[in-house]
Amino acid sequence: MVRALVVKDLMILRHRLFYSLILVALAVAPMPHEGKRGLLGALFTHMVVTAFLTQAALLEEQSRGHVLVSLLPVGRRDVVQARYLLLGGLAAATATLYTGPIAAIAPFVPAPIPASTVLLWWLWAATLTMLMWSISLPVVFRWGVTRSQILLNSLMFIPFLVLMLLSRWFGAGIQSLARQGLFSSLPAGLGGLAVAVILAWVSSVVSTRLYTRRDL
Amino acid sequence: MEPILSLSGVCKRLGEFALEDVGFSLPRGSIMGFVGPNGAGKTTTLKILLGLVRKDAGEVKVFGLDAESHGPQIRDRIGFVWDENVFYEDFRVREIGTLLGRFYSAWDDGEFRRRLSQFELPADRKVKDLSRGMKAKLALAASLSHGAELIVMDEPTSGLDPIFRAEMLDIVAQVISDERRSVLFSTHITSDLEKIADYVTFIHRGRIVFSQVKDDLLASYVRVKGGVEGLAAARPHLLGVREHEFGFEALSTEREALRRLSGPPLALERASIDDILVYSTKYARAK
Repeated sequence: MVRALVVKDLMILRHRLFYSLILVALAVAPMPHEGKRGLLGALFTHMVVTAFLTQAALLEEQSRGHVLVSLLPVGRRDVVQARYLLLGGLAAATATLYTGPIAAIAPFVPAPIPASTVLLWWLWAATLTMLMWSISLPVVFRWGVTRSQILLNSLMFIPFLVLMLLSRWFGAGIQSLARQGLFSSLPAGLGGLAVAVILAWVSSVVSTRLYTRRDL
Repeated sequence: MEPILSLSGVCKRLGEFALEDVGFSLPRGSIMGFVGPNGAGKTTTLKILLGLVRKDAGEVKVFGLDAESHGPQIRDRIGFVWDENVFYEDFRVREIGTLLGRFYSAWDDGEFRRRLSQFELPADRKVKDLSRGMKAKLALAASLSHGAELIVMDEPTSGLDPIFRAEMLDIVAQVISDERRSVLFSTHITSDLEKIADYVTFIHRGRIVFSQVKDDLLASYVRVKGGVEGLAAARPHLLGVREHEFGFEALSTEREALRRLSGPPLALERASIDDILVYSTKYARAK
């Protein structure tokens, strides 16, 4: 049933998915090739996935699809699991779309990009998306899309805001961490993703509890 | 035989509104009209039986299973026609079949195609381009394609023109010719019920006023008309009275007592379901 629910979401998203892929491809090309590329890519990936998931939820609500889903022979737990699987899948797919072309051209550019750097960018892109959505999805499952709209709309820009504030308040500390290689080491990237996956699991447990108690 | 659906002592508070001690049962192979004014609690009751809303108290059994703990198994055997379209507007009709087929254990794609053809639904048209009546027929086609034993309809004929409504009612009547199936039909258009319902359940302000066999219901009530001078003697036998300049109109279950009254003659007529609902609610306080 979880698989059927994920397929349903992909069927709803298919047209937007196509245009968004073109957007990703167009947006990757003009990105700078300096060190900030990984950060920009992560933020961009996060924005695309946010737009996808928000669109899926909004389209579903506009079509009263949430009513249809609740009338189908699926449990609430399945609905929550499917949404988190979609989140994980989209985060991975979009991060791959972003880093894939870079990996393809990496050996041929004037200053070759090591494969480990591309992998690190992939990890940060997927991690950021999963972290943000792990915080937001319980709110959506508790109050529905319409009432969570402000949060969903601001979700795309929250990481920018957080990064801006962090660099203003803790700029020296962050630069010191960067010098020590925290943001450019593969183990740190893997650790970040592991934290994001654990947070997503905790978030899904909370979402399931909230959604099973909600009257639709 | 065990009823296909039974509710007893169901309570639910939703802000100012509350369902109180709601109970009725639907025998297998029959059509029940579930009637009541807007805001009476019809949709909330249907949502409770489908497991969309959690009850505060009481028991709901569908196919003999507890509705809350067996939601998915129960919904696998239920079809629905909702008051508004619930299918994705951008999907084509045939894609709705593809989508639903992934969820229902007994989905029959051939049956879906046959029903689309029977109901004259174009498979390649997008849902958003279907009329309201066609969307209702699509929901019914989907219900029949997974062998639903119980079809729950929430205001399926509201907003339909008379021709579409008549067609829809004919289809529902055909559906029930398969005696395994039952239909719970929520509506405020009572003339629809007179045509097809076997049972009528009336809910008002969150409480069940009555739930009985339609023919017994119609036989037990009588509509009374009389002049001003006859009202005083008749009043103790009346359930609801509408007084007007020239006399009164009322509802009663005491046909013989009214006939035996001395004084000006009263006109006793067959009451419609509409009369029963209106006089037992709107004019009930006048008793």
